[in-house]
Amino acid sequence: MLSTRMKISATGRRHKAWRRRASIHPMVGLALTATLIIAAIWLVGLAAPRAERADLRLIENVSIATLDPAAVSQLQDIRVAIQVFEGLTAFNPKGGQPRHGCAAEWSTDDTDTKWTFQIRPDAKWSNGDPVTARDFVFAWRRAIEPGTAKDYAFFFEPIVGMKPYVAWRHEEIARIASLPPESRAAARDAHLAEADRRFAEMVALKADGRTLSVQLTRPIAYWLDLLSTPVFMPLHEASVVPFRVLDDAGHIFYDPRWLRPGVTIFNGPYYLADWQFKRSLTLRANPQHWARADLKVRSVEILDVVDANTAWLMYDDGRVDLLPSVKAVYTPELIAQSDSPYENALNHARAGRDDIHAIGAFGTYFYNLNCQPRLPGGLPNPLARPALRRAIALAVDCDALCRGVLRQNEVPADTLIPPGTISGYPRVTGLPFDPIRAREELTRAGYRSPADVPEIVISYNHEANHGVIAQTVESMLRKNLGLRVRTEGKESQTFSAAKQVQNYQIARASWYGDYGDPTTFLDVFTSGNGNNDSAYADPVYDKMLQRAEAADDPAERLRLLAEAETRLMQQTLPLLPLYHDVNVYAFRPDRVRGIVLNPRLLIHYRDLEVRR
Amino acid sequence: MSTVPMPIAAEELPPPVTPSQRQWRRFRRNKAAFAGLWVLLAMVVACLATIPFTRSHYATTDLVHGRRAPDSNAIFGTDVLGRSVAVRCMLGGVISLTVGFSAAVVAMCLGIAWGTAAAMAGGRIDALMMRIVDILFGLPYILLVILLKVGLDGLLHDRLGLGAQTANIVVLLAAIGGVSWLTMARVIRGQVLSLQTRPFIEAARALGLPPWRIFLRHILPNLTGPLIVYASLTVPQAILQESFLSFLGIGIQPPMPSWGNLAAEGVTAINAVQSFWWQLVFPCGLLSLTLLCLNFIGDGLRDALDPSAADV
Amino acid sequence: MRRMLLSRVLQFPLILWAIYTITFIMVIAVPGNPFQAAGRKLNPATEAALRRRYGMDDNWRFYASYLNRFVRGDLGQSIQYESWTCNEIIGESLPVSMAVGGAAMLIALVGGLLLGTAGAVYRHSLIDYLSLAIAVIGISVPTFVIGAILLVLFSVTWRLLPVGTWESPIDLLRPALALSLVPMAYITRLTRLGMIEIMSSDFIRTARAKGLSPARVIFRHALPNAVLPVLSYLGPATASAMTGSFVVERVFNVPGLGVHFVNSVLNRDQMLILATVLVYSSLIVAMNLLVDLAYRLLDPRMAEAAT
Repeated sequence: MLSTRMKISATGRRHKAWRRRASIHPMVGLALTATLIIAAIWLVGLAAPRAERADLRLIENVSIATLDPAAVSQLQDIRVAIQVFEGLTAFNPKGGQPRHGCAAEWSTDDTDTKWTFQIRPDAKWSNGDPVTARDFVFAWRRAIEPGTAKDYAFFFEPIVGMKPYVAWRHEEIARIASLPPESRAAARDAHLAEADRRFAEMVALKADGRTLSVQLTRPIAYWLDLLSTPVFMPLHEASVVPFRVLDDAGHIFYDPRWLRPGVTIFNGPYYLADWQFKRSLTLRANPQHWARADLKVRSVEILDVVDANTAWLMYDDGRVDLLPSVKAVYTPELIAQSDSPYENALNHARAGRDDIHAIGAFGTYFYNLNCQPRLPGGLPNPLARPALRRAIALAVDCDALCRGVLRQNEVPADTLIPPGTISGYPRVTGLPFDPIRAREELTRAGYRSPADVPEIVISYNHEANHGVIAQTVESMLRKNLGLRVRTEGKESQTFSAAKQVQNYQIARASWYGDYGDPTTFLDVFTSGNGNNDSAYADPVYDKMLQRAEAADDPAERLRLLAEAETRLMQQTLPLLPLYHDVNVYAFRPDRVRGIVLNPRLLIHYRDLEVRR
Repeated sequence: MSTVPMPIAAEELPPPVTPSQRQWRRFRRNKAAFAGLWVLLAMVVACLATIPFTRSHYATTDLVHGRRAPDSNAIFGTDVLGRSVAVRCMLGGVISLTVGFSAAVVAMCLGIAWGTAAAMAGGRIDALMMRIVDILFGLPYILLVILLKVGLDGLLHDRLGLGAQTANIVVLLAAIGGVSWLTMARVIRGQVLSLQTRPFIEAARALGLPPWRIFLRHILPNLTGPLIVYASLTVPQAILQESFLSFLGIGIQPPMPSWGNLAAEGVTAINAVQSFWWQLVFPCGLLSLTLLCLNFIGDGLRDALDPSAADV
Repeated sequence: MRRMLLSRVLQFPLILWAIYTITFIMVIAVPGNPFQAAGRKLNPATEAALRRRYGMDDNWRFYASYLNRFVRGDLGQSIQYESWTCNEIIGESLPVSMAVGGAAMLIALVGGLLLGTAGAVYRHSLIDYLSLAIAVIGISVPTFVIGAILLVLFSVTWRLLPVGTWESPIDLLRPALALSLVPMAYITRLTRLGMIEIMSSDFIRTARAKGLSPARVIFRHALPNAVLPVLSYLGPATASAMTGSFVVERVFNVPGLGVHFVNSVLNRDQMLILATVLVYSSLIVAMNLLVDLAYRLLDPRMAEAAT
């Protein structure tokens, strides 16, 4: 025994020393840890209450960021906001005049600038309070006040007095912010009281019980359409005001927790019953809504699934009823399958499928062409010459791009506004694909041969198939025009930052219309517009738009706007149009009824009926 | 007469075996490592030899022949834009291996410098330097890489005027190397610490040799073993990290291929509806094969260079 | 030992502060505007108001005020997800990530230890090659490829598991499996190599000579010593697994923290970046401390080596 013990080596000694020191065998320790982990997992990770299945289940590919009417600007947020809030008018999927929302009737005077709205007597908030005109005034004021004003605050500019009021507020805030800290609080309070008074005086927005009257600075042909957008929707003042937070300079903020299930009061056909961050949203039928009796879909569950492939699998499995946007890599195959019998890669043979629906969307994918004379580095910008821009537009075969690369039946674009989406708008044509003419334009630009043109860079951000499109355009320009072109992919934020200071030559872009009028596209390229990333400044174009606004006859106005677009797309080319977007829906028509596809991609779930 | 064993003449003795020869023989006996070495060499030679051809053809699009399965025209098939997957795989191999090896070299240099300095300084400075390593370990790697990449991108592009693609590669390997050196620093420090207690280092110090000389002539040669082993394990990690960054979209930019971004593209080609398997199988297969070889070689090196691993 | 423990615990806030400062500098230095959503340009007045609101108009003020908030438990307001506070975001997604990460590490640990031990004991047999195969796949195939293939296999070809939801324990299995392969590979290798080394050492020969059964020799004597290098790998591996693997969460639609974090970096959501980094780092540093502690408990040699 003694000799054995003496033979134990250093490792054995270590082992013995360990045994003396700690009292837990490591395997036991590991087992304990494992049990703890399992218990933690069970308790914490999966504690989700099992709810009964909603009437309608759908998936949104992009997370719902906010439902605050003043801040909503992304399409998926808009799609939910229009279910839980209701404005004076409501978007009409069938096109034409907007439907009635909260407003039972409206009228205007001869000049088309003074509008009066009568709110329905049975329009109620989800807690039973009636919807009054004051709710609209509160919400509209909130949408322009410094602190809560966001992307669409400019929609309110046509209302008499709004612009001067907002300018005054900003001035005062700057003044108060420059005061010494001790005197700021008192100054701010005085200023805010004054602001209430001035708003009532300056702004031509009056609430009287259920009557709302608005005075515009000029007639706006699409005013009713504008009123259906979320930024014009009302808010229940009494439940929002308690979350008000003031800073010392006079900005009015709101603690974001005013918008939570169980806290917020809604007036739409649905109310927000549950919202789990980045997982799902649940809507339930609003028992106080005036159309509740007709509501067939009484609960909606909106799941948040970023991966397009996973979303498709969930739809295919039957776990969801509707995919508002199928963005998978194999969407072209799905579209092809909808036309003819097929056998997919996994041998699930089926007859031609009827659940894939494609509709041209109210948006265009294009490339901004930098129109500034010099690039930020100081070098001269070759694209400042309109003839070179025309040459580039003539050398890109959008048809081949759509047919060969995109393959979702996108419409090759030669204009900015998708044709046929605005009723009464004349047909505009841009430049066709014509390499010979392209060479002529190149000469006209002052370059004797393509080798004289400095290298041009196409920038894009790393998402979706922007890279593939950029590489295709690059190879087209090389083949058809002989230009030296290079693509440069950037990370999204860097890309946006560079684009805003015009630090690019050709950059990818897209624009979706906010309301059903050509100005939603055409205004972007006016001088000094915040979204005019091409830095295109053309007094002739600006004047053409102003003349159109001054026109009395709506048809004449549209004609003048079409002339402006023609100038843009045939002569000056601040952009290179590629294609008009297509949105692909997936739903079984016998299961989900009532969907009317429209280019604005909006659906009122209250119109639907789901059969299992 | 007593039988005395005759001394063998010097010429008849087998030639003495140097330690490095002994190591090489141990390495050769490890069949996996040896085979891995040959396969890796074959791949590297193939990729490098085809550079003149692949350099000019990796971006040739052919919209008509997109997404073709492997056939006589394109041995690995074509991708969505009609580019040959085989050509892109070959060039991608060059790029991925370059990024991997360079990043490992960067990591090695940083790790050696930091670890040795910490170990030789000792005491409080050592503790501080190791705490810094702990802190950097605590930072999320993805944040570091993205920020390094975005920051360096601007720097290289604007100030040094490097071509965009070169800048991209340089930034990538700087970013990956910049987050991989931490383990190396720890290991090197441990090794140097244990070396410092050895008698021959004490003797060198007693002789009055300056620290840098001790480091160069006495410590560094003894570090080669663990260095090579860890370096050979860092290379595959670096290549994997590049593929992860390509999946996020901030790795090597298309149209320049790398096994990482080819695999990331290929992943989108396998799904419920369609199966363009060649876009995933070939780049991923080559990537995995290379990583395997590197790992086997690393194992073999460790077995060969570390005499305490007994022959079992 | 106690002194070491105390000093490490006291260093904890210092380390966190250093991490916060480094992250803050990096986040401020990188170009990109957190208030700018892609596409529409933000009115400068609106942006100024928002900056004031979040306390981000002045960098020094932001630095100090955020630290102040964090200490009081308020992680700030997310900029890209404007309706949510960082507390809510992290509070809802961190447990999910930890669940997936914990399950993955569990699978990796159990599987790795068993496979590694079996491989060491039955060398050059089928089991050995199987363990090598697992090790090989984990080390050489990128996670996103593993995830995609598992997704296709389990949900499409075999229609075994439902996809995309997060409702029952089964939903945990697939992302955990995909996430576990890489650490399992390392653990298998480490265990196998450690066991091979230990099994040839003197005290094991003694134990065998004493006539102990092979199982006892392996599990009571050999494995505890071979586990040490695995432990030192476990610490950082668990922490990083728990805070979510971006790829796995994205592919399997797991509502975890990894996706939010990477998105916040890509969108420059400075509040969420700082909040996530601080939470993440606290976890990692705490984990490292625990591992060091366990190491010292198990290996007295380390206790003797001065820090």
